[in-house]
Amino acid sequence: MMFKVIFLKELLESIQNYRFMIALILGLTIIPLGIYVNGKDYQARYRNYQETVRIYEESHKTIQDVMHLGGAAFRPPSPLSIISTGVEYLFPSSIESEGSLITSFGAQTRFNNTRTLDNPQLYLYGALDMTFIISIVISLLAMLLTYNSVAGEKEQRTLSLICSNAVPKNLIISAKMLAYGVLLSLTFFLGILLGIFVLLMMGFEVWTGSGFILRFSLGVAVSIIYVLTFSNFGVLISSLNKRAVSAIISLMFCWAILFMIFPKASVIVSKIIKPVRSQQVIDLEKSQIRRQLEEEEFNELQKLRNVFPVVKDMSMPEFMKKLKQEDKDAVAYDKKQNELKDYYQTKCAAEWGRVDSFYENQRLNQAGLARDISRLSPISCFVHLMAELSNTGLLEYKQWKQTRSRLKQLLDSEINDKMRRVNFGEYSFSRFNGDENALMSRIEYQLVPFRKVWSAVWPDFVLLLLYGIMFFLGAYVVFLKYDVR
Amino acid sequence: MDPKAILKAIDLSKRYEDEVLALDHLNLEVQSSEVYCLLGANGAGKTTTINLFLNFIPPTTGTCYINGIDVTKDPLEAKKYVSFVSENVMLYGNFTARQNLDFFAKLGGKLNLTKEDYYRVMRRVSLQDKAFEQRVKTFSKGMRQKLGISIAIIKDAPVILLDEPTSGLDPKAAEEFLEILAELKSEGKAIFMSTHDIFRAKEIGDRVGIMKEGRLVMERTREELLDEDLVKVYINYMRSVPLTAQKELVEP
Amino acid sequence: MFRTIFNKEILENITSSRFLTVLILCLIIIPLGVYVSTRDFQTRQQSYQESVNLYEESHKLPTDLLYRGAKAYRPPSPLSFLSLGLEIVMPNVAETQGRPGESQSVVELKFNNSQSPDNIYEFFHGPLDLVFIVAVMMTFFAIAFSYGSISGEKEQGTLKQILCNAVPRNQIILAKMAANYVTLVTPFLIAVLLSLVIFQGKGLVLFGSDRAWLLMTLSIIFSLLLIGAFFNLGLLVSTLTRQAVSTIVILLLAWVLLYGILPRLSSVFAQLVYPVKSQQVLVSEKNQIRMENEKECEARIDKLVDTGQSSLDKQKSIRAEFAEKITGSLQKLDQEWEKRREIQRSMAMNLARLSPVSCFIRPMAEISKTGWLEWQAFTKDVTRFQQVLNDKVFNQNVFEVTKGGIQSHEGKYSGPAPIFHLQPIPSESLVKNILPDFILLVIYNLLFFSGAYVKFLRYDAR
Repeated sequence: MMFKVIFLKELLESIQNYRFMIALILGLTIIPLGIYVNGKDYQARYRNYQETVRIYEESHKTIQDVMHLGGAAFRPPSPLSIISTGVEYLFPSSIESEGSLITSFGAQTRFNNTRTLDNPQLYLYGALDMTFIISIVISLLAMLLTYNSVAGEKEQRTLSLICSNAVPKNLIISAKMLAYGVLLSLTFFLGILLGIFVLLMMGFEVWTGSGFILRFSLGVAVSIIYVLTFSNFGVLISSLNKRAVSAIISLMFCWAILFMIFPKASVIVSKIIKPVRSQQVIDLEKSQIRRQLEEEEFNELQKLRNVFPVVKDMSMPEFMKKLKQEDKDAVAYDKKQNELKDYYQTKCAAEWGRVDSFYENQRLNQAGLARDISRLSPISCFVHLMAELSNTGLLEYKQWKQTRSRLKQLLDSEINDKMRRVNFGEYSFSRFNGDENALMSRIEYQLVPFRKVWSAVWPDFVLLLLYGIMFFLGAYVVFLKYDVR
Repeated sequence: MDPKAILKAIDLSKRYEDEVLALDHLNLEVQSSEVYCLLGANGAGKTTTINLFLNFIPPTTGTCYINGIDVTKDPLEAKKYVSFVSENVMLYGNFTARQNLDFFAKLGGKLNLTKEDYYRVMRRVSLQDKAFEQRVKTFSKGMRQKLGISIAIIKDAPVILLDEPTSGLDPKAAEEFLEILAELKSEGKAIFMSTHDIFRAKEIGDRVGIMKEGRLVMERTREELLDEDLVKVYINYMRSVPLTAQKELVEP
Repeated sequence: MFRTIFNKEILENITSSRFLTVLILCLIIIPLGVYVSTRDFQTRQQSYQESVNLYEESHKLPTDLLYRGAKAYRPPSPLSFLSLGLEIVMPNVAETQGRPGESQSVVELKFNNSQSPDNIYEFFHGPLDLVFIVAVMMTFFAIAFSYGSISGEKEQGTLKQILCNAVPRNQIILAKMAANYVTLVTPFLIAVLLSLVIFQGKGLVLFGSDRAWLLMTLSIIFSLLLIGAFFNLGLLVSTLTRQAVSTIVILLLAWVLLYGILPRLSSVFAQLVYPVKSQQVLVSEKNQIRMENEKECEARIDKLVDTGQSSLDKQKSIRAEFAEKITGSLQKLDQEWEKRREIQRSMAMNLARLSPVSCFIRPMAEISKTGWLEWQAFTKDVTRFQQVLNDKVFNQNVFEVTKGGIQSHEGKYSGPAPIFHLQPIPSESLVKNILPDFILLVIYNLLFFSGAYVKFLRYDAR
C-alpha cells in the first residue's frame, strides 16, 4: 500500500516536472530521427551496392571475363546498421583479385578499402546510429531525471517529512527506482515504436530477412536494460550526495569517465600489455618469403632442366611440338616441373598461413584483452553488444576475412587449378583447360548467424544485467544509511 | 520629512509583474543614531522595502534616498553609504572568515586594512579567535550572523540595513547581536531592520513600524510604546479585516 | 574593484575540489593521450619507412617498374597526435595492378589502405588525441567551471552581498569571466606544454619541421577558442537561470546537442538532401567505360592486321587515340562526380558549423594534415605521378599485334625510375580552409559573452 502511494507520487511528480517533458520530447524526436536518417542512409548504400553488383555481373559473366578483368566479391551493407554503425567504416567495400590470375601461387585476393571515401565527414564526427543515441543521449537523460531523486528531496525537506511517517526506507528507495525505471523505459519504448512506424512508412524492405526482427527486438531489450542501469546509477549517485548540485556534478564526472576515458584506456592498456606488429609489416614479411621461395623454385627448375638434357637443348617451339606429340621425355619433364611448382605453391601457402595465423592470434588476443578490460564500463558492454547484433562488429570483421579466403578458393578451383602451365626456361605460359565460356560461380555473402553472435555477446548481456542490479542494490544499501535531515 | 534623515522613502510603491501590489505608498525615514524596526507578517512588504533601498528592483512609483542620493538615479553612489546583512548569511563556504571579510571590505572601498584590523572587528562581534581562520562552511548560524554584521561594521557606512537578523538565533545569540547594534547606533549609524521579533523590536527600536499588505499601518516611537502593549497592538492589527476591504489612512 | 573580484574568483577556484580534479585529470590524461598517439605514429612511420626502403631497393630502374609495378606511399602525419582525423581511413598507398609492363592501355594507380586495424576496439571508441580531449573533456570542464558563476552565487546569497556595494555590474561579470577562464585553461596549457617537453624526440617532431611550431600554436589557439565558447555559453545560461541546478541541466542538454547531434546530423542530412553516388559505383562505371573502349581499340587493330594494313605506327596512333578518348571520358565522369561531391561536402560542412564543436574538429584535422586537404593532395599528386609514369615508363613499351601473335618492342629507358613525393599543402590553402571556422569560433565566443554581459546587467539578484 505504502509502496503504491510513493510509487504514484514519484510518477506524478516526475510527469509534472518540466524536465521530464523535455526528456520525453527529446526521446520521441531523436530516436525516430536517428532511425529515419540511418534507414535512409542504408537504403542509399544498398542501392549503390546493387548498382555495383549489376555492373560487375554484366561484364563478368564467363570465366574468360574473370580471367581477363579479375574477380571480385562485394559485401552488402548490413540492414541492422541503423542500430549500430560499429566498425562498418573499416570494412573493405569489396575483395578483389589482383590483375592477372595466372600465377603459380593461386589467385591473389586483396581487400579494396575505398568505402570511406564516400563520407569522410561522417567518419570525422562519428555516426548518429541508435547505439550512439542511446549510449549518450538517453543515458544522459536518464541521469538528468534521476540526479534529484534523493539529494533533491533532502534539500526540499520533503524527505524528512516522508521519513517522519511509518514508512520503511527500503520501500521508499525501491518505489523511487521503479518509478523512474518505468518512466524512462516507457519513453524509450514509445520512441522506438515511432521509429518503427517511420521505417514502415519509408518502405524499409528488410524486415523478414536474416533474422532482422529477432536481432532488432533483442537490441531494444538490451537498450531498455541499459537505460534502467543508468537510471539506477543516477539514483545511486544521488543517494551519495547531500545536495542536488553536487549530485549532478558527480554524475557528470562519472559519466565522463565511464563513457570517455574507460573504453579508450582499455585499448591503450591492451596495446601496452600485448603489442602486435602492424599489418603492413606482416605483408612485407610475407612478400619476402614469397620472393625467397620464387628464387628457390627458379634454381630448382634450372637443376631439373639439367637432369633432362634432351629437353634442355630444345627450343621452345620444339618442346611444344614434342609435348603435343606426347613425347616421353617432354611429358616426363612437364610432369616433373608441374610437381615442383605444386610443391612450392603448397609451401608458400603453408608459410603464409603460418605467418597469418600467428599474427591473427596476437591480434585477437589484444582485441580480446581490450574488450575484457573495457567491460568494466557498462557503456562498453552495451556498445559491443549492439555492434555484434548489427553485424558491424568483430565477428562480422572475422567473417568478412573468411569470405576473402572463400573467394580465393573459388577463383582457384574455377580458374587457377584448371590452368595448364608450361614452363620452359625463362618462358612460361598457361592455357586454360576448360570451357572458357562457362559461367562463373558467385559468392553469396552471409551475415554471421545468430547463435554465433549470441555465444560471443552473452557475457556483455549478463554484465549489463549485473550492473543494473549492482547499482540498484548500491542505491538501496546507501539509502538505508542516508541522513534524511 | 526631516531633511536630516539619512534613509528616506517617499511614496514608495512596488507592483510586481503578476499584478501583486507588494508596497503601497510607503513613507518612512530613519535618522542617524536611530534604530528603526519594521514589523509585519510574511509577505507584508518588508523585504521588498529593503530590496528597493538596495536597488535590487526598481520602484513602480516613488523614490528612496540614502544620504540624500536618489537610489534609482545613482545607485553606485548611494551604495557607498549603506551596508547590508541578509536574513541567511551564507558567504563563501570555502573561504575563511577573514578571507570573506577581506573581500567584502575591499568591495566596500576599504583597501588597505591589515589582518589585525579584521581580527579586531571579529573580536568586537564576539566571534571566537579560533574561528577567524576557519572555513565558513563549518560555522553555526549564529557565527555566520556575527560575520555578517562584522562585514557591515568594517565598511563603516552610515546606514545599515538588516533583513530579519535574529531569525533562527537562540536567545543568547540574539541578545549579543542586539548589543552590537546598540553600540553601532551610539556610533551614529542609522539602523533599519525588518523583523518578526516583537520583543526585541520593542527593546532596541527607537521607532517601530508595522506593515500590513504593503502598507505602513502604524508607527510608534519608543516613548509611545512605553504606554502601549506592542504585542497586543501588533496582534490586533494582524487580526483585523484585510486592508483591501477597508480604507485606512496612516499618519507618518 | 575588478581586481578584487578577480582575485576572489581565482582564490575560490583554487580552493575548490573541482580545480584539483581538473588539474589531476589534465595532468594524467593529456600526457597519456600524447604518449599513445605518438607511439602509434612511430609504428606507422616505421612501417612506412620499411615499405619505402624495400620498394626503392627493388625498383631502381624503369624496367623494374614494368615487371614489378609501381607504388606511391603516403607518409604518416607527425601531427596526428593532435588530431587522428582521417589518417587511418584515408588511402596510404596507390599501386598498379598486376604487371603494368604487359598492359596495353593507360596504367592506373589504384588507391588502397593497407592499414587494416590491429585492434578493432580502437575504432569502436576512437583515439585519445588532443581533439577528443578538448572537444569532450575540456568542454565538460568548461561547463563545470561556469555553471555557478551567476546563478550559483545568487543561490548562495553572496551575489546580493556583492551588489550592495558600489561595484558596477559590468566589472563583476568581466572579472568572473576572466578569472574562471584563466583557472580553467591553466591546467590544460600546463599539461600540453609538459607533454610536448616530455615526448619531444620520442615520436613528437616539433623541432626541425618547417611549420610544426606554427601549426601547434594554431591548434592551441583553436582549443582555447572552443573551451572559451563553451565557457561563455555556461556563463550565458547562468545569467538566464535562477538556480545552479537548472543551469547545469540546460548546459548538459546543450552539450549533447552541440557535440553529439549537430555535427553528426549534418553529414547525414546533406547526403539525404543531395545524394551522390558512391565511389564504388563510380569505379565500376569507369571500369565499364575503359573495358568497352579497350575492346573497341583491340577490335580495330585486329581488323587492321587482318586486312594486312597494319604497321607499328598505325597501331600506335590508334592506341593513342583511344587512350585520349578513355582519359577524356573518365576525366569527365570524375569531374562531374567531384563537383557533386564537393557540393554535398560543403553543404554538410556549413550545416555542421552551427555547432562550435564542428568549427573545431574539422580545422584541427586539416591542421594536423589528417583531413580532407591531405586526402585531396595525395590524390592529386598520385594523378601527377601516374602521368609521369605513363609518359616515361609504361607507354615506352609498345606492343604490336601481328598475325603470329603479339610482338613487344622494348622502349628506350634512361635514368632512374621516377619516385613519388608528396607535396606539402600550401599555407594559403590551409588558411583559406580554416579561416571561416576560426572567425566563427571567435563570433561564438563574443556572442555568448555579450549575451551573458547584457543579461547580467539586469539580472535579478534577490
